[in-house]
Amino acid sequence: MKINGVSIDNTFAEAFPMKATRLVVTAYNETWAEHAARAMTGFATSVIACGCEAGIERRLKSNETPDGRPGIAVLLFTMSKKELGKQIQNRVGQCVLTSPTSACFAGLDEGEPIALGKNLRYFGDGHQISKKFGDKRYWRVPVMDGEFVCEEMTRMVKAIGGGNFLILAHDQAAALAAAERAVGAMQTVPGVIMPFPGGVVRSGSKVGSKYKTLPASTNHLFCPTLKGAVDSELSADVGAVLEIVIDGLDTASIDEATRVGIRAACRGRNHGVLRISAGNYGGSLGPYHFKLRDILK
Amino acid sequence: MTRLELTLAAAPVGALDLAPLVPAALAGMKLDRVRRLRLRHGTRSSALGDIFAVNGEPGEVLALRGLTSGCLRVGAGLGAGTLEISGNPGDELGREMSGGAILVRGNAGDGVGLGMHGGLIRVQGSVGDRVGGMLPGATRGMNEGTILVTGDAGERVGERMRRGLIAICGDSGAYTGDRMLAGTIIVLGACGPHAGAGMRRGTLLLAERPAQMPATFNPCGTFALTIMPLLAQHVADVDRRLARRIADFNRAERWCGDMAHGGKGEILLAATAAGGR
Repeated sequence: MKINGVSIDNTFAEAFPMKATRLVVTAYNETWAEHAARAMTGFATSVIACGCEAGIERRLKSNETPDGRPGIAVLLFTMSKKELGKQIQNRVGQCVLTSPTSACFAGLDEGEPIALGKNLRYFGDGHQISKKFGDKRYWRVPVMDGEFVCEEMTRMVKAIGGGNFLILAHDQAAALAAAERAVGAMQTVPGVIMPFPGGVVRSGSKVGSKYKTLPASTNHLFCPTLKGAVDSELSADVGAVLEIVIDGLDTASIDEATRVGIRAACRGRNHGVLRISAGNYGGSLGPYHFKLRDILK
Repeated sequence: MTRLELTLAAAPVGALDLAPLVPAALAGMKLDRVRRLRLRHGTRSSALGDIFAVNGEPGEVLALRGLTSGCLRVGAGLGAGTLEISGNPGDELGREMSGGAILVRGNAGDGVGLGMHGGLIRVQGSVGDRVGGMLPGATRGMNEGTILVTGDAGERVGERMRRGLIAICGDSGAYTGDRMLAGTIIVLGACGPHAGAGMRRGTLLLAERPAQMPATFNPCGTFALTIMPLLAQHVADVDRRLARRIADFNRAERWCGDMAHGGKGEILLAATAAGGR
């Protein structure tokens, strides 16, 4: 299979079950909503060492948020419910509560309830106020610029992490330009995030290492500088590889993100992209297989 | 949607207890059986068919027409379905109701929503004293649900209220939010004296400044509170016009109190964008 001259490998991305929630962060204006959301989703590229994978799903207009202010929808993914609860508490507590004019709300109506402001309210030192409207309880925590309003609970759903595809290009510049096109297109797809910096990862990993203490190490078969040293997956003309990792709320969202991402990466003339591939572990570890050629049909 | 319509034909002697008339209790009954139901009035009882003209088929909606102030406990214990009422029902409308909706075209008596713990009461008229208050002998008033009154309300609105929302679009009498435990009361008209007396927690949102603020409430300043649009959005589910009024209150002067009872309650004096009140 080829798209605009780019060869699509007959392979699949192998992905894993995760737990996820969507939070809506609002503020006085878009700038401060973005400050809070970016801080909250910082250092959240991989569960390997960050505790969670998180990112901005999309910007919300005033008429799309619970309090009628500009907001940002954020997705958080973890490997367990316990870790998700911990990450929500730490990240909202340290990054959203602290951000001027902010408020934080649940972004999902379905799923298992999990604490959002339930414990953060104690920052109010007894001065916090509960307001229950319908079946939703909000906490009003007095802070120095007024009140931090936070919904008591959010919802946790089963989700998928680790969807991916690899862009194999002539050189770094071509790979980076293709990755930027792909991420730009994928950011329009609801229900997914690309958790790495700018949505792109250059240090694709494999499971395990020659060093016993490391759970993961560089994906040496896709490192262009090792083409002569290992049984490389890369042909002689490939000078750089970049990966886009996708976490999504369901398989359909990841399918769609993969589809629009690859098509955008292959768009244009003289793009320098040679192949599109995907990372997997032979299919034995992750129950979700995103077959590139099936998705792109 | 099936609907049963009962029109008061001859008001009986003495207070007429209409608590048995809720959609769930009548569901599936044939009209003959409905007509044979016994209703208490004063110290006696009569067949429903002797008091009401019966039309339609029992189901989710029960319409009660031409009610008078002698009709007590209308919709008491309602758990589901809708009661449509025209006329001026008497005391204890929606007493202890837990769900469903009571819609009244007319005025209602004292004790609307006493001990209520769910559902919606909407009165397109005025109501008497103790809206959303507590049952005799109880320590807590309304525990959940929504009461909307488009007219005026009497004294002690939300007395010992624990949770839920009461919105009075007209004026409210003295002791509004009396000893309130929590919940939200909105008054768009004038609010009588001693508002929030003994209030422990909860919110009293007033569109008009009372003639005199209670001595046991302290001013905290004027703020754009994030909770206001959330309240407006909640109200929008039942009354979009009222929701728009609340949404216009983009700032509020906050008074905390009752300081003699912990001071965790608040009176919010709403202000509009124009700065008026």
